[in-house]
Parts: sequence; structure tokens; C-alpha cells
Amino acid sequence: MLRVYILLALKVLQRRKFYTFISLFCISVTLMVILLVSSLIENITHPPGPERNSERFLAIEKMSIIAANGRSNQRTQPGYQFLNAVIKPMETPELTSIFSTRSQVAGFRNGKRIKSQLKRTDSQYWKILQFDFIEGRPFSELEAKQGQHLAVISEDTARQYFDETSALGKSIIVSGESYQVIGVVANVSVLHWNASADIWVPLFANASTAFTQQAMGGFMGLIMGKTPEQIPAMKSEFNKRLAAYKHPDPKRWPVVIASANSKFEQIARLFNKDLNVPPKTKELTIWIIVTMVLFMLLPTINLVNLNISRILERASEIGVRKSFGARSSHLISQFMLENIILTCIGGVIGFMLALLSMYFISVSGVVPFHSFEINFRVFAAAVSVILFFGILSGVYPAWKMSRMNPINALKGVI
Amino acid sequence: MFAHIFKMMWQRKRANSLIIIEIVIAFIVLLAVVAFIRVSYQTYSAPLGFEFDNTWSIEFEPDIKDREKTGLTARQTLQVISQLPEIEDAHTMYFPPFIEASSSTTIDTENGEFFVLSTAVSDGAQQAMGMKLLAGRWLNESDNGQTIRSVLINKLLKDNIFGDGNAVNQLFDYEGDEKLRVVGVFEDFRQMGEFSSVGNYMMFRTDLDNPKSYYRSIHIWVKPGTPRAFEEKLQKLLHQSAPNWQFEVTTWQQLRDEHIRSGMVVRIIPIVISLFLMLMVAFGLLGVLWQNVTRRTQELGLRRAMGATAAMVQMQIVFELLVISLMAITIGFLIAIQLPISGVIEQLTWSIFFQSVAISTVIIMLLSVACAYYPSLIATRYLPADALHYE
Repeated sequence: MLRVYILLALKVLQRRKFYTFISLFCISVTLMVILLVSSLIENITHPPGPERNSERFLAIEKMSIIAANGRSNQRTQPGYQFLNAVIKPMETPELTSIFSTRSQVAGFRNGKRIKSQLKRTDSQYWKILQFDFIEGRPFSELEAKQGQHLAVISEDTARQYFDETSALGKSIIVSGESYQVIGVVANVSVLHWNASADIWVPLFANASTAFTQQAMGGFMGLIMGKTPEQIPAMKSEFNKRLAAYKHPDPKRWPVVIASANSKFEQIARLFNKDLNVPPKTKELTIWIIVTMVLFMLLPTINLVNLNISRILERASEIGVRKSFGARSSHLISQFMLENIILTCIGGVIGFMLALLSMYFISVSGVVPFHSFEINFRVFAAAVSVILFFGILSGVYPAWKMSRMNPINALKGVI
Repeated sequence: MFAHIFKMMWQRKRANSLIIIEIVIAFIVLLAVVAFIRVSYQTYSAPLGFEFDNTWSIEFEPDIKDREKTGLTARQTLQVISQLPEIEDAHTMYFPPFIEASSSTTIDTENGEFFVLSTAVSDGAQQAMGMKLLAGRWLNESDNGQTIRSVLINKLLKDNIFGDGNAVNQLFDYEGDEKLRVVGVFEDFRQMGEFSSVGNYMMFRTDLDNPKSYYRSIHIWVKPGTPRAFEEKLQKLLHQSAPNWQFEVTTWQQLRDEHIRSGMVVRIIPIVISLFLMLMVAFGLLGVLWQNVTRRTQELGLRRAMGATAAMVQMQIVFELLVISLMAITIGFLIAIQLPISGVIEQLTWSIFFQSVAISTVIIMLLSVACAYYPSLIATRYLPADALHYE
């Protein structure tokens, strides 16, 4: 019986090609967008690559200071002095790292300018973030402390400076300083901003140590626990130490605000810049779900409309089947099956479209070094979207069809 | 004729309810996107207030523990690079433009509280940036040693504090315990770029001769046509004058390109998605209507038999969809109007809202006509004989 239904369904799809095309278009385009968006969200919240331990670490990336009158405030990245005083003495985290935010630097090769993003980091950085070393190694604690002029560079940077030859042991000159390359790592997507850069050099390689005195600006901190369960303990210890911290100019800036955020909280922070309130992760989740559902509602109603038109077209067929004793449940299951087959075909097309557009986005370099991935969670999201479509757009028309009066249906009057 | 079709459609509103719902949602989505584009265009086209050609920024890390030494080094650096033949002018500024970093404060006045961004620049920077002075004068040496600090404010802040009155030489409260004197009003200085919202702004003076003055970036105006490779020479010179410092050199053009690119990406994605949605709706309506028309052989054939011309039948089909769309747009409008009434979104003014409604209505109507056109053409092909033969 099932075989007959499937054969019938395929025949019906071929009968009115225009309808089939419209349905497939709706389903595949919607699925493509959903896949792209969910892959992007997944990639940021559960990053692969260097940030793969993201569920164990918290980032401190913004702080603000408020004047005594409570009116004037400055808001920027934390400074080294602040991070050193607050996160370095922390006991709950297994590892703590302080590193500079990305800065634009330029190097020159045969008079051609090479633009790079540079981060100055400590040695713990390489333990918290799991970089894929193509060759070489990160700098050690001693080398970082001594401020040796060493650099780890990305694959892309290595290619720009040295073409295809090995970069190890060679030196690069950026912003007037020379560094010896000791490691080459795989490119990191700019979306993983805790890790991403093109060149990494030791914090103290810079001759000036003025930055160690600065409470604000230019740095980020990462704290990582042994297990994800330590996150709440790390947060409360951070808040305790923050409360005890005093700005170097305490008269002018008595209040200092900062927070240690998980990856998803970091994203929620982008939409809510007020550091006084905790990141609105719940609101962000609700927003994402509501937008997704709203986005899917339109194609769904569209499909319902099309499906109703379709069954009206087949009124005489339904009339014949009814008058020969087919039950409503038979007709409903037949129609639902047809619809699910259609959505599955659309799903496959949508999947291929998504892969294709992911490829083009990667190649076009709109999001530098970002490679989309479809993992199990994204795949599950896609399958549930297909089911959502198949069932929701089939139920109402099928129910309507089953209620048709056979006599009228045979006449073609509904 | 229109009234008659409206009556018919009103009678069949239940049968058409799903199509109406579809158009309602399509209308609201379209309205949201159009309003978003309209608001973006408004902020984008508001005057930036300064020019960014041939200007480069050099950022460095000042040492707040030793301000005097920082100031001295920065001043020396400024002098050294000012002598380069490629450089026409050089000034200091607290933050470079087109990036999301600023100082902000809240100003308390009789007319309410205002959120104000601010920066400090050295004398003559305003002219170099091509800013427009509306009243008063720019900051200069005569502001040295005044007990009340001088400040420049933008037109919006002037309107907010002083209304239509004169602002020059007026005082206002700043951070509770200080007063500031307005010496000039400028058109605007949208530090964070074209896509940032238009807001209040004020500008302080950086006195280069004061050893305590503090700044974190130098900006240079290079001769037109200076190649980007000039940076190599510049970096060498900077490195010589302050060997312990790290300098970051970017052009304002580059900073702006980055700002525009990220602003555009945020705006293009919803536009592309809504285009796809509109295409889906169009195809859907076309399919439904097509089927609808083929089912109405009898009715339409009968009309032809009674003497209706092909054009009249065609008009009926198109008008029917237009009437349905109008009903849907009315419902969508009633839903959407809650937004400007409640005033949740500040930039969504009534004029922008109504403009967006008008544009969305026209687009939906055009879409309806386009979708109904082909089915209406099929409807004209029915012959009276077909209708009478039916069954």
C-alpha cells in the first residue's frame, strides 16, 4: 500500500510541475536560510577550532568606570593593570590569560603592504585556546616573561610573507619591530574573536611597559576552569575580586564595572551594552526563536494555500475514492505522505543550496577565514524544520479534503 | 464595479482567510524592512560634519602614570612628523573617528537630561577636518587659563539646551560641579560614522603646550596622492622619535570603509531574506489564483455569454486580488501602527512610518497585479460554449 502511495505521490508531483516548483522553491529556500543561520549561531556558541573549550572558559572583554557624580562614564576594553589585579590572583580557574585586543599592524614585503591583526599574549593563552599548529610551537612562559621577539603567525600570513616555503626561523618586521617566527597555526575565523588574529607575539616583547599601569583599554582576559561546572564559582569569585578592586584614580572613578561572560553571554552583550545589568541571554534566545518561527510562518501559510488549491483540483479523484469506500483516515494519511515526500525532496534541495551558499560565502571572504560546518545539532534543526513544514502545511488541507462530500466532489463543486 | 467586487469578496472573506493572513504577514515583513531601510537611509544621509580624505590616524599607548613624559614624547613626535614634506597638517584627538570608542556624559539642564559624546582636539583640527561653524568661533589660544573651560557644541545639543536662543558665551552645568562656556556651535561631528545615530556632541580643546594634556592619537593630513607605502617611512620615523612606543597607522578612509562594510552587511541580509519571502508569496498567490480561475470556468463563461468583454473578465480577476490585498493591508496596518503609537522604537517617527506604509502598500499592490495578470489572461480564454457544456 505504502509503495502505491509513494508511486502515486511522485506521479502527482509530475502532473502539475508549476505547483511542484513553487512548493519546492518555498521549502528549499526557507531551509537554506534556516541552515545558514543555525550553522552560524552554532559556530559562535559552540565554536570549533581554538575556542573548542569554550564551555569551560569565561571572557572579560568590556569594562566601564563611573565618576563620583554617577553621570559621566567611560566604557572600553579592560586594561592590563585591571586584569592583572583582578583575574591573576583568582583561585577557582585552572588557567588565566591576559592578552591584547586585535590591533591593525602593517608589514612590508618588497614595498608591498601586508595588513595583519596582531595580538600580544601571555603563555597561558596557548593552553586555554587549542590552536592547530601546522609547524613549530607556541612561546613558553619564560620566553613570554623575557619578552623575546618571537611570533606565532597564521597560515595565511605565512603565505603572504614567505609564499609556500616554511616560515619557521625566519623573521618578519611589523610596525618597525622584528620578530622571529616560531610557529604557524591554521587560520582562525574572525567570528571567534577571543582567538582570532594573524600574528601573536609575547606581551612583553614591546619595550614599553606603560601598559602594565593602565586600568583601561586594549586588553582582554580569559579564565578557564577544569570542568564546565566551575563556571558559576568562577563568576562569583570574579565578582568578589571586582568589588575589592580600586581604580588607580579612585577619587574620580570610584565605581568599576565589568563582567566575566560565557560565549553566548558575549554575544548577548553585543545587543545590550549596559554593563550594569547581566547579559540578556534569555531575551536573545526568545528573539532568535520568535524571528525563526515568524520567518517560517509565511512559507508555511503559502504552502497551506497551495495545498488547498491542489486538493480542490483533485476533487473528482477524491470523490471516486470516497464513493468506493475509502475512509477519511486513508485519505488523510495518503495526502500527508505526499506532502512529506514533497518536503523531503525540497529539504534535500535546500540542503544542497545551503552547502553551495556556504561554499560561496567562504570563498568570497565576506567573513574572513570562516568555514561553515554542518554538525549533528544543525542537521537536527534542519530535519525538525522539514518536519514542521511537512506536517503543518499538510494537516489542514488533508483535514479539509477528508470532509469533502463525495457527491459534490464528483461533480467538482465544493 | 469596484464596489460590487468588494461586496463579493466581503461575502467570501472566510474562504479567502488564508490568503488574507498570508498577505498580512507579507505586508508586515515588508513594512519592517522598508522602515528599517528608510531609517538607515536617514541616518546615513544626515551630514557627517567632517571630511575624511587624505587623513591618517596614528594611535599609540599613553602612559597615564607619567602624563608629563607621555605628553612630551607625543609633542616631540607631532613636531617631527609635521616637518615631513608629505604632511600638510597634524593634530591630536582623543579617539579616532569611525570606531566604537568614545567618552560620554550626561548633561543636566532645565530642558531635561541629555546624553552627550565628547572628544578633545588640538587647535585648528576643526578647520583641517572641514567642519562647519554655525555660530561663534573655534577654540584657540585665547581659551588658555580661563577659569571656566570653553567648549564647542553641535547644533543638536545647542537646540536641546538653548532652544532657538543664542548659545555663544552661555554657560551650562557639566558633571555637577563644573560649568562650561560655549564658544561656538558646529553643524555636527558624527564621530562613529554615517550609520551611527545622530546625537549630541561636544568638543574640548587639547592644549599642546600644557604638559598635563592627554591624548591617545595623532592625525595627519597628507598631501593628496600620497601612496599608502608612505607608512613604511612614517613608521621608521615614529620608531626613531619614540623607540619604546607601538604605533598603529590607519587611514580614515580605511576606518570608514570598515564601518560602511559592517553597516551594509547588517542591512543587506534582512533585505535579501525579505526578497526571497516576497518571491515566495508572489509564486504562492500566482498558483492559488491560477487554480482558482480554472475552477471558475462556469461563472466566467457565463459572464462572457451575457456579453462581458474579455477585458472586463480580466479586470474582475485582477480587482478581486486587489480587494483581498487591500483588506489584508488594512489589517496589517492596524497591527503595525501599534509600534509608533507605543513609541518603542525611537527613530520610527510618524512621517517615516507613513512613508514606509505607502511604499509597502504600493509594492504589495504591484505584486498582486503581477500575480493576477497571468491567471486573468487564462480566464479570458474561456468561451461561453465551454461554460454551457460544463458537466
